[in-house]
Amino acid sequence: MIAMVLVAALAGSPDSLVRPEMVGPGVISTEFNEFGGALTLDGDTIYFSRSVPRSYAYAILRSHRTAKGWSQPDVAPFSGRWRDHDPILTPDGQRMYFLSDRPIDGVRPTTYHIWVMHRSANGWSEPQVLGAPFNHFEFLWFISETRDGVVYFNVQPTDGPARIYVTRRTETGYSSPELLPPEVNIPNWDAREPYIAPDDSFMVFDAGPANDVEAYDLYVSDHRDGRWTPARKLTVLSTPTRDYSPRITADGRWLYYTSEHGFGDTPRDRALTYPEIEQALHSVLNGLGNIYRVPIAAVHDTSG
Amino acid sequence: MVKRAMLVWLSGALCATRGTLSAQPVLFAPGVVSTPDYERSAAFTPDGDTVYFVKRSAEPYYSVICVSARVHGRWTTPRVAVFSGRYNDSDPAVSRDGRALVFMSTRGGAPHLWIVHRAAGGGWTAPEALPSPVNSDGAEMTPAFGPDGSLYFASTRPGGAGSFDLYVAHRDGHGWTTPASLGAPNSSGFEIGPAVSPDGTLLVFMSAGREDEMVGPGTSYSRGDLYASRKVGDAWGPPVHLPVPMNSAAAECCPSFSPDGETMYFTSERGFAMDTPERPFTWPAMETGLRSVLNGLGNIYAIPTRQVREAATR
Repeated sequence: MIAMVLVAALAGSPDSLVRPEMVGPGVISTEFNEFGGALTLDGDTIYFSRSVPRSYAYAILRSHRTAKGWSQPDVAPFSGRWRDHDPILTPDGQRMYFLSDRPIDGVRPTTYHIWVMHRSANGWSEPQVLGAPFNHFEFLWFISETRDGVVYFNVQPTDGPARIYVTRRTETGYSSPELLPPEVNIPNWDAREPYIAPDDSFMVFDAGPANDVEAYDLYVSDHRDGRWTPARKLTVLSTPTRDYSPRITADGRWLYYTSEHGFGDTPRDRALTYPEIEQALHSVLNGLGNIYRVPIAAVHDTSG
Repeated sequence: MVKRAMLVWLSGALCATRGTLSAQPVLFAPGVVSTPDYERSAAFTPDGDTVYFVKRSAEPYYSVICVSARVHGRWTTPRVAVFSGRYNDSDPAVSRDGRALVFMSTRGGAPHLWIVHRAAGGGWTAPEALPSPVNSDGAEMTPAFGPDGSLYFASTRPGGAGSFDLYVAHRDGHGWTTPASLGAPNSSGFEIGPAVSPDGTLLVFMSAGREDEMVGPGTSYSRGDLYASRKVGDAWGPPVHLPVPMNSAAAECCPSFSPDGETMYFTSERGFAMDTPERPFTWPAMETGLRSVLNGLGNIYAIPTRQVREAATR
């Protein structure tokens, strides 16, 4: 009962154009912690992260679209041992990036690195770690890429807020990374998880006061004539909890994202009873991440 | 009570460490208090037969103080404390005489300390915020009572050594003295969760970000470990990092003592996924772990205070 009321609240007013839709309720979005849903080019497979809360373990899972909806996910063949998360597919479907702390040359790192796999007739290649210029940074969070090989990625410095950089993939490697301007890298705020539109025309990312992860919301910045517009909060889908982990589908039609919205962030006019609390803690809306999608119009809707 | 506690220790796993008999911590009231949900912060009434504790969501979006009673030796299904359940409350601490309970709440906005008193005919009075100078313009959390009724707690008030530091306020008529830093236990890192033994000689607390904190393999997450200081004259001595099995690579926090001082309770997130598995997780294996009591969400453990004291004396 509580769960149904909250889904209605998240969907906004009845006349809203934007209706966030939970992806695979009970199958992909469950009482466990999910985030980062990446669709293959044909839209028939979704890769996403599921974790032991509080970062004790992460795995990348995959599910296939069937006539009856999404199939029961299994751990992807390349994942399940190390902390693998945040799968990202390039718009041409030929590369999959993900973040991992798996060993590099036999040595387990103490931070995350970006790994890439290439698509072939036999499936995905063995993961390879991205070297220069990414390994210049100590702690990497996220990467995405346009159709033309412009690459945005995310760095967590030890002594300041998370920052977004851009580089270009070339025949021989990557160009020297450049820090995006303060329109995106908002002063004193963490700017995280840049997901670039396939045509480089806008970016969705999450941001919030530094180190206040639970307060992150999704923002958009438009990229016009080489400039970035000041980041605008996606108020139509933001909640009091963390909203993050954006993906834009290769066809440009959908924004997939993650929200920790649940029973805990809705004001209560009375005390919950113990049975009600137990039921809520075991529900899909227990405050752990779930994956949602909205039509891309939500990103450009400035009415909110 | 003492006899029952001894039986619990003897039925727990025993192992010899450094020449002393070292018991593993015992899960407190498994399946009743310690469940697959997130529990922390046990606080007992003076007779030891009622426990207040916190149940919360994995990320701290919802937090509630619950209570369970021991009936014929068994802990009964908890209920929500009469003063909790609507707002986010945490960190219960029961006074030595059982007449007052202090807890952290965001019901007034920022995290501060609130108090309820035993009402005539049972139950508790309506919560009231503790006055200044106990509550400050910063944040306060994790209260604990000392043997003389003084109030220990963590605060971000100006003048501290780090983000959260430990303070003590003494009774002053019907009010409180200006809180004083506990001194040596505080660092430029993060200290919360003080607990003072009923004899007043041992302080155990949580600190995060120290060099000796235990972390797991791979990406390094600072989650907090337990430290202990002994009373030296009127001051607390330099803290000692408590060893395994009191600490683990998972988060430990929220120590407290049984009213007789024989047992220390603490919260730990130790669980099935702390070490890299030898073979990749399948989803069924991961799901089994995630549905278990040791799913990485907090549980409450008990360990003999003697063992803590021995570690703190080394």
